[in-house]
Order: sequence, then C-alpha cells, then structure tokens
Amino acid sequence: MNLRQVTHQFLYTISGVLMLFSGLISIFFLRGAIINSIDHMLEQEKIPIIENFIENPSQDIYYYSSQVQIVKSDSSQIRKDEISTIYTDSLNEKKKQARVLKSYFTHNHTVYYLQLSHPFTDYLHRITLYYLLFLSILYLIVTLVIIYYGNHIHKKVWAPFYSLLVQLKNFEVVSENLPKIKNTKIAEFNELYDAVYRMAQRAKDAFNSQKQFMESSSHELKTPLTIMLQNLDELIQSEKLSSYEMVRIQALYESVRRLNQTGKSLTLLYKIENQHFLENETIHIQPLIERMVENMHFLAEEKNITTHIHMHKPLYYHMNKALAEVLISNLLSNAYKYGHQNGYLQIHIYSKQLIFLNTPQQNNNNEKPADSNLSGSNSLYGKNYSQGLGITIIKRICQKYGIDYKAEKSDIFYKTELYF
Amino acid sequence: MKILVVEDDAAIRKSLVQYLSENGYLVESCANFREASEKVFIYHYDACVFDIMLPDGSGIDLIKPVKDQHPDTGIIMLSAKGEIDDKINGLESGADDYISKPFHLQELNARLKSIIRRTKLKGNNTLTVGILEIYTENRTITCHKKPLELTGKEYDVLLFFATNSGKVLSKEAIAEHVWGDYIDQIDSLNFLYTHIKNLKKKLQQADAPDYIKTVYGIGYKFDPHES
Repeated sequence: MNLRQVTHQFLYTISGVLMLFSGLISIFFLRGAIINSIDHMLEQEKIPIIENFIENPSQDIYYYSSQVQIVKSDSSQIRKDEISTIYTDSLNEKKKQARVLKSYFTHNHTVYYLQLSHPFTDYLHRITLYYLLFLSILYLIVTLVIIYYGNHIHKKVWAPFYSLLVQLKNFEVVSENLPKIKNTKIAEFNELYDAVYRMAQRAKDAFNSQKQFMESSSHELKTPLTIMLQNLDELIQSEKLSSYEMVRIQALYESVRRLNQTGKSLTLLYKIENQHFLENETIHIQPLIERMVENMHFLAEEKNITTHIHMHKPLYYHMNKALAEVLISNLLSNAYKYGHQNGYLQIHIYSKQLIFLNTPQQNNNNEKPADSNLSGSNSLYGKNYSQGLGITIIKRICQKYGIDYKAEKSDIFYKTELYF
Repeated sequence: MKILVVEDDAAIRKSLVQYLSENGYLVESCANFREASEKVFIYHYDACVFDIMLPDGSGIDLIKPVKDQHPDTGIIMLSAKGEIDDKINGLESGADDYISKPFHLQELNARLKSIIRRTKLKGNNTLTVGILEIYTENRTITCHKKPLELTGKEYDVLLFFATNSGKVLSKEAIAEHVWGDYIDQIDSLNFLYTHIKNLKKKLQQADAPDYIKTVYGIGYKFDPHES
C-alpha cells in the first residue's frame, strides 16, 4: 500500500465516521426540534379549544375530534399540564407515535380534563427522509471534493518527496549526479533533501575512497610482481643455468602466479563486499555454463572428466554478468580440480535450482586445506593446493544475490546445490 | 622498429627497454607524462607502450596526440589497476591493445609483433618460421606447403612460440597467453604438457624438424635455427 492509498484510506475512514456520527446527531436534534414544535403547537391550540368549550358547555363528554377530548373530572385529579408521547393502537394501522397534551381546567365549579393529541410518526418519517436525502447529496459532494482536492493536494504537497524517491531509486555511487529536489516551501522536505544530499555525498566519497584505496593497493602489489616476473623472464634466457637453479626459478614463477591469484581474489572479494558490481541484467544460466565448460575444457581434459549438462528447465537470474561468470567458473574449476580421474561431472539445471554433482578424488595427505583461514569456512572439497578463496568467492556471490548455497559430501559424490 | 616505453617504475622500465632492445627494437623511454608528451610531439614511433598510471597524468591522454599525428603507430596500454573501465577507456581512445600487470615480457613481445603486423605490415599477414608458414588472418599453418591440422589452442601456442622464436618461454607465460584468465582457476600447469606433446607429435607427423625443445623445470624454447 502506498502513501497516497494510506492517506486516502485514513481520510475516508475518518470522514465516514464523522459523517455517520454527524448524521445521527443531526437526526436526533431534528427529531427533538420537530417534537418541540408539535408541543408548542399543542400549547397554542389548547387556549382556543378551552375558550370554545366554555362558550358551548352542552355535554358531559366532548369529542371534538379523535385528537381533542374533553371530559369531566374531579378536583382530586387536577395536575399541571403534561405533554408526553404515546403510541396509538389500531387494528388496521401500524402502531404510531403521537404527542399528547394533558390539561385540567375549571368551569362553573366543574373540573374538566382536556387531552390534545397530534400524531407525528408519518410527519417525522417524511421530514427525516428528506433530511437524509439532503444529507446524502451533501456528503457525496463533500466526498467528491475530498477525493479531488485530496489527490491534488497530495500530489502537490508530496511532489518533492516523490521526486527524491525516484532519484534515490536511480542513484548510484558511481554516477556523477547527486539527488536534486524540487523547490518547496515545506521545511521538512528541505531538511530531508539536505540530509539525503549529505548522505549521498558521503556514500560517494566513501565509495571513491575505497576504489582509490583498492586501485592503489592493486598497483602497489602488481608493480613488484611485474618486476619479479620480468626479471625471471630475463633470467631464464641464460644458457648457464644449472638444473637446480631452473627448479628454483620455476618455484619462483609459481609463487608469483599464486601471489597474483591471491591479489586478484582478494580484490574481487573486496569489490563484492563493497558493492562495486552494480550493473545487473537477466542472465540465462544454461548458455553461460555451456560457454564456461567449453573454455575450461582443458581442466576436464587433464583428468579425463566427462561433463554432462542436463537442462530440465531454463534458469534465468537477475545479477551482474561478470559475477555470474565468476560464480560458474569457480563452481566448475572446483568440480574439476577436486574431481576423480576418469570421473564425471553432472550439471542439472532447473528453473530455480542448479546442481553440480561429481565424483570425488581420493584424499591425499600431502594436500592442503581448500578453505584457508581467510575464508573462515569449512571446505566441501577437503584439501587442495590453491589459496582457498574460490569457495569463499562462491559464497559471497550467493550471499549478495540471495542464492542459497548448499554443499554435500559423501564417499561417492560431491554435490553442490544453488537455490535461486 | 622504433618503440617508446612510458613507465614510471624504474625497474620495470629498465627491464622493458633491455628486453625489447635485445629483440631488435630501437627503444626510447621516459618516466612521466610531460616528457612523454614532448617525445610523441617531436618524434614518430612505430609502436608505443604506455603505462596508464603516471605520476603527472594518465597514459590514456597520450593516445590521442599520438594517433592524431601518426595513425599507424601501434599503442599498447599497461595497467596495474586491473579495472575494466581503464581497459574500455584505453581501447575507446584508440589504443590497439591492453595488458594487465603483472605480465610476461614474451607476452608484450607477442602483442607488439601482432600490432606491428596489423598497423605497419598491412596486407602481410604471413609469418614464416623455418619451414612453417603461419597465416594469421585465417589462423592456419602450413608445413612444407601442406596444411597442418591443429586445434585452436595448438595454433595459439605455436603462434606464441613463433613470435618469441629463440626465447625460453616459461609454462606460465604460455598458459597465460593461450588460456588467459582461466589459468587463475587452476593450481597446476601440467595440462600444458599434453598440449605441447600433441603439437610436437603433429609437427613430427608433418616432417617438421623438432623446433620445440623442453627446458628442464621451466618451460619450452622454440628455435627453428637450432634444429
């Protein structure tokens, strides 16, 4: 539910309750006013009726009409005038209400009881009906005005907020633009804009600072590696190298390569954790896997591992393309590196799931753990010669995109499952 | 062939100058943007190697002045930052190739030769080494005028050997040149042995001399003059 809907819901509820109560109260007061006017009318009618009776006192009981009765009474029953509501009862009619004035007067030493009645049910119902009709039309007009001006005012008042919201949705720390707000007289929006602007500026500064730091670190690491590598490249051209020296040089080459790999992996992890991969797109996983399998065929070939891709349902996922490639290549390289000689790798693709199933290699006591202390996680594959950041990278990418990573190991297979 | 190397790190610069000079290039070098700007304004080079991060500017800003004056000058960018943006900016500015540090000298040599073939030796896409003729345009190789049936990777390995003829190539240099970044995923370069063995076998079957020599512990040397 958005802000406009919530505001309108609140406004309509309050308005509805207010209209209902005001309607009920106004009907109550209207009914009171009608009864008062009837009472006043009865009071006004009483005097001419009594005067008329005094002029023609011919009978003991006088019925001027069904609404006016005068009967003789005794002096012990004389009371003050009393007006009350009674229910008229008739066999052919519904029970109806009437206001009744009960009064006593004396004429020629005789006490008379006067009863004036005025039915008002029909009258009251008619007046109430007209009033309700009028009230409904009035409330309808008021509601329409509230909806129209509510929308208009909402749009006008909240325009800077929505403008800011759109900008924040599209804001990227790598972009040159910072959020800009429409001119507004509302102090809170100006404060919000200032706060957002400062926050965006800080985020941009922090991002650029991290980027600069990362580039400088990378430069600082790679420059000496380049020097080492180039010196080694020159050194191996010498024809005077002994076998021992050649083996030592090869060890240095391997160290440089591993240092470079570690630097790249750490830089990648740093970039993943600091949100440096911002551009996402919908990736079709199957062709990506097929391409990676082809490119990394040399790894499978080395151990004569057969790769089978089983496409059960197409799998699409919205993520960064480079990270999707890193994820798949790391899964593949792990499966090949720790796969059994002449074994197999089965890749099952479902619409929400990816499974890598491969035959495990025999454990070798001389091997080193796959996940180093840097990764802080238990290795699926047990031991290997690598720097152990591959699985950490897989887990970080999965974490970033909300992919569930599950690894299972048995004596006959390694199973890695990703739930998208 | 006259080459300009612009690199702020003295050790790398010295190494590049020495290596390229040994490979028959006439090499000039400088350490900063200002000096490089003056040189490219005054002189004409067949190829330039520019480091992107210079103390007083970016190597990318040197590309346009060079290409404006001499469009046939080949340019290779070097970067230690490893940022894809740098690569894109460099290539969009007119650079012909891009190498990330750390790199092997033989890799730079292969890329330089490839650029020079493209920019300077227009139309001449044939490389002759011994009895082998390599046609870079359609990626084919003949031996005794007969086509050699090679896989894509075997072709790449042989071309890399040919462009670094007479030089000892480490296994790392060969693997990184041919398999690129995928090499980062592996621990051992033993797979290379199989590929070289197959390549040697195919050359042998085509009656080619044994040009590829194994250098104990380190790698291989391709020398058509020693056989």
